[in-house]
Amino acid sequence: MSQRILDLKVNLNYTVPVIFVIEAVEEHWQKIYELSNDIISSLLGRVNELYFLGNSRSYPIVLPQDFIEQSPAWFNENKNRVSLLNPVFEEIEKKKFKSMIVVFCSKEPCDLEDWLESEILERTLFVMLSDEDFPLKYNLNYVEGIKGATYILSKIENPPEQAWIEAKGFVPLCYEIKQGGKAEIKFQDGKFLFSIIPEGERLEIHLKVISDDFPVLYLKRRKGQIESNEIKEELPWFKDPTWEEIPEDLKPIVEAGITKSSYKCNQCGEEHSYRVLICPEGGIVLRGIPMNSCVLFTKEKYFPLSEWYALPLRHNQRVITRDGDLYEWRNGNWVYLRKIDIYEKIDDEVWALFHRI
Amino acid sequence: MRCGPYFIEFDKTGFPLIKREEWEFFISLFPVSKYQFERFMADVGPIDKLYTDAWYRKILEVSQRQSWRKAEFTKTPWKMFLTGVPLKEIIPFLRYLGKGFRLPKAEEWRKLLEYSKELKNLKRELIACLEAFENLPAPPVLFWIEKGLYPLVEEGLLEMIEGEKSSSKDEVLCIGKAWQGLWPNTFSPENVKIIDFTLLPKAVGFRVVKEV
Repeated sequence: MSQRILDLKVNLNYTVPVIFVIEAVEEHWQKIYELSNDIISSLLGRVNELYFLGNSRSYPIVLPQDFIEQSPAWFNENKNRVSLLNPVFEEIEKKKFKSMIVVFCSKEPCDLEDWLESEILERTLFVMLSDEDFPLKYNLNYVEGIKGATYILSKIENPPEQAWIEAKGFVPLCYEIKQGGKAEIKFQDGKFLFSIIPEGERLEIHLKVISDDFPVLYLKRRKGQIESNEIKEELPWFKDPTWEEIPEDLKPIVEAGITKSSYKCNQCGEEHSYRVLICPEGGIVLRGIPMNSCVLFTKEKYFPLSEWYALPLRHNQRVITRDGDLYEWRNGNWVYLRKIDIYEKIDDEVWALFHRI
Repeated sequence: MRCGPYFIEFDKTGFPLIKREEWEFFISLFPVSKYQFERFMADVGPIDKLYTDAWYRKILEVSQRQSWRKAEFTKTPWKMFLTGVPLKEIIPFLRYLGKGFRLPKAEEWRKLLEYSKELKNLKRELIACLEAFENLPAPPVLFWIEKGLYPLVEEGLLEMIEGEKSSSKDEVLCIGKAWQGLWPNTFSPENVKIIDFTLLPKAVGFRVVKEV
């Protein structure tokens, strides 16, 4: 058990790099060249590498111009090579490349069977160039080259559908999504899940969390398996909780809450039970203190959780959320205890109040 | 690396060669596989009309290819091994492997046959030795050993060997015994046979020897 507080930064490109793999067959080279050129120009900066079937060598594409100028020479170097996926896919796997692969070919690669049911084939699109029917023995992700670059592009795109952060003992304390979607925090099966509905091209989040293990960002795209992405630690992005002084005129009200007694209302002058938060003749009794989210009190100070999702208590063994829900760490899981009562004591000399107006 | 009474090393394609203490040669643990030969072709590329896509697809018409990952369930293991390549077309492969590589002589091949059972009993040790290599062997190697698909001398392919050339250019000297499913036969594996390559290309493969 080593619950610790971490400051994290998520930085992720939703747009995926694409690797091109080409069958170096003279008969179709002109078509491959034109299609590739159109696609590389449209996916600006996303096609960084080119391979030829049967060769493990990678040809770098820094600018679209590199393809235009150098690919005919690269093609000549590889002309008539045996159409093999193994040298290319083994190299791609070594590099841990997890994005889209587009294979331009006129026939099924000779060793295609070696990759059937592999994860890499799920994110491989075969662009078939033969005018004749492609002799498909297997169920592949494919598109006919004749349909053109725009159509192929629509098949290459692999948009993100869902992202989430999780880890053992993970609780998001506060977060800021600079760009890339909206977050939703769910609690299920003893775990907090920080879920993101992706938007735009990149995701940038700052987070403060409690966690046992180092959290991981998972990303599910339309095609392929769930990707796991590393999250980096950063210097604290969020300020430590700032406790404010309770205004003098509210101190008797808070004290009554703490001692579960009554107080003299500073609006109507009547005695109210500590449970009365809105004076029948006036308004909110704790005027000036933010409501609608959980507020923590000591005898002198208060801290509203509105900017935080949760705050750790009891040496990180408990958390209270801004909705006033209390959780406890037990046997490797977070356990939901209850919604707090009015002015419930939740830690040494700390009481909490949740009142929605 | 040593494994019991054997020394093991890898060729350029990542496939193992073994040598018993008293032998003066290393011999490949498997007949040359399609995967292995493909590694060679990927490394060197086409040489004139050899090792082109068209050339290889023609070979595969005679000797169909099957994924090495199917070793466990297959009834046609020969499809994982390279057959149907004429002798003169494997010479660049032997050169590629390096100095001292050649086809086995009959007596060298017979040594492997003699110790075939011993090798099979060494399966656990072999796997442990191969796993200890800094650069892991080619992916099929451990998989095939695990499934007992080695050294394939009692039954396997008809394997080309070195020896006196026959008068006919189509005839090759072979040793071994073909899998029954590949070609029903009553051969004794240790006997040298003269095979008309044009009649039986899909049963004829080879393994390599490295002279010490």
